[in-house]
Amino acid sequence: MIEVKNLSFAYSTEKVLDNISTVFGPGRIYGLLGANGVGKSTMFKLLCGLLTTKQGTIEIDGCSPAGRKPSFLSKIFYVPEDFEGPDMSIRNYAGGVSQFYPNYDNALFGRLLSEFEIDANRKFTSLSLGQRKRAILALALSLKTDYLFLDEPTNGLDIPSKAEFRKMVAAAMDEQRTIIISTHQVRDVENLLDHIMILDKRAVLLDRSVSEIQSEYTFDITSNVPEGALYVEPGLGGCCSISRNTTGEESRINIELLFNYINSIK
Amino acid sequence: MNDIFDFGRFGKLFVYECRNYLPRYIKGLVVFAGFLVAAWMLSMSIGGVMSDRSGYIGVLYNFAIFLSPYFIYKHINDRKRGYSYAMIPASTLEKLLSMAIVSFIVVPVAVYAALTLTDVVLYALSSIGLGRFTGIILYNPFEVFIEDFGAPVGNVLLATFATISTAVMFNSIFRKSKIIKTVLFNMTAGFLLSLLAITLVQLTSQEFWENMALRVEQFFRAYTYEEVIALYNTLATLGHLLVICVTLAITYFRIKKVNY
Repeated sequence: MIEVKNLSFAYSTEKVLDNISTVFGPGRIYGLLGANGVGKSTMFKLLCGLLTTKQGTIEIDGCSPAGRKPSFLSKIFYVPEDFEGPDMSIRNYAGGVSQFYPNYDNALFGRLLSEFEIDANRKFTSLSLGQRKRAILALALSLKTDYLFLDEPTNGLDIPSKAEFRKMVAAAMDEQRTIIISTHQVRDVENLLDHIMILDKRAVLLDRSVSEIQSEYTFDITSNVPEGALYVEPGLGGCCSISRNTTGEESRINIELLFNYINSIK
Repeated sequence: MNDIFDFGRFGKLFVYECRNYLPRYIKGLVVFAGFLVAAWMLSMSIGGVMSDRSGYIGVLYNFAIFLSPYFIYKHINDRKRGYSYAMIPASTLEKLLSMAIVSFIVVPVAVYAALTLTDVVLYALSSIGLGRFTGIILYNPFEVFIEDFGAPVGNVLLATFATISTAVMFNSIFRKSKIIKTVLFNMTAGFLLSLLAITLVQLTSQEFWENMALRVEQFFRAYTYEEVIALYNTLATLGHLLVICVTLAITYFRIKKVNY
């Protein structure tokens, strides 16, 4: 379990996270959403111990990430937004990295690479951004770490790869695992998420499970503005709206709409 | 799991580093061997015999091993690419030790082997004399470095390690333009220390220096030449050990604490 308490962080004079507290539990896929510069990548770096907290604490299974202890590092894996990769073949890189992760599944890695249509003998430097992303995602999922942090994982992926990615992440989930996905392309991960967290520069605007959101709000597309709507946006099929859920029926969450609504009332 | 040092994990890290980083450096070795060939060809084209190649090889050897940390571990503190090094599940001590073994032993041996091999090939392909380097170095690889100083091999080794560990430290401190910054830092430090020394000399009375000269003279009279050299070597050894310990300690904390 990841416990973040009163976390604040600033680069030089610019404060990006201010007094944030939250918990990331096991067996769930979290969506970390927010405008550019609110600190999503910073949050990942803090969770991995790549940055040191200025105020507040982070504990992952009772361990502080900043210590970068081997026992802690073997439980996590982080895929940054712009993964460049070393000047070596995917097979050699994976062979080297995977020996530090006790749950690595080589057969799964081979299968994921083949589903992503990536040749393991190719060098990272000879691949496009999308191909590099697919290769590192295949490795990330095969390492079977307890915590997986994906920063803009679908950025650079083509449409078939995005569908493959969703399928693979869903298949990779188990009761022990926590996956946190940060993305602006919310439609790519809409059906994957169990929990949505919307960050602002100074606060967590929303930190709720998908089922909580569904029981509180109704998402609808109507030809006219519905009565009592909390937020409305014009869409292709009519008016996209958010209303209070008074019927108890669950509707499919429109994350983009939810994001805009939450930001409009902050 | 032992989070400070685990022999098995260290072995994996060492092999991982050799496999991941050294191929990059081997390309560099080919370039350095090319320099030797170029020097030989230049020497032949201007009518030289190049029977004494130790100078060329010594310079190339030093350049290759002292610059190696900047190439092999270039990205360890890079804000974008360094995260992959930081996140390898190994302890800081294991990372430092692996870095030290690669920089102190693996690279010098590889450079030495590449240059010797090139030299032997050049010798075999040409009519030049065997020269000093290849003939001597096969028996005593350090003679080429020590004969001018009369220093024991251990001291020469320590001096080499101290220089390499300084390069390792500066590589872990500077994020960009590492070599230029290292040179500038050392030049600035040298300039400031010289300035300090000059200022101290000017501030000190002439009487003090006359007394000092007298004491030095008495010192040299009291001891034999061999004893003075032995004392110098002991002090040099201690100095080199101090430099190695301090630079490696700074590198350790830098690896442990660097933010990305």
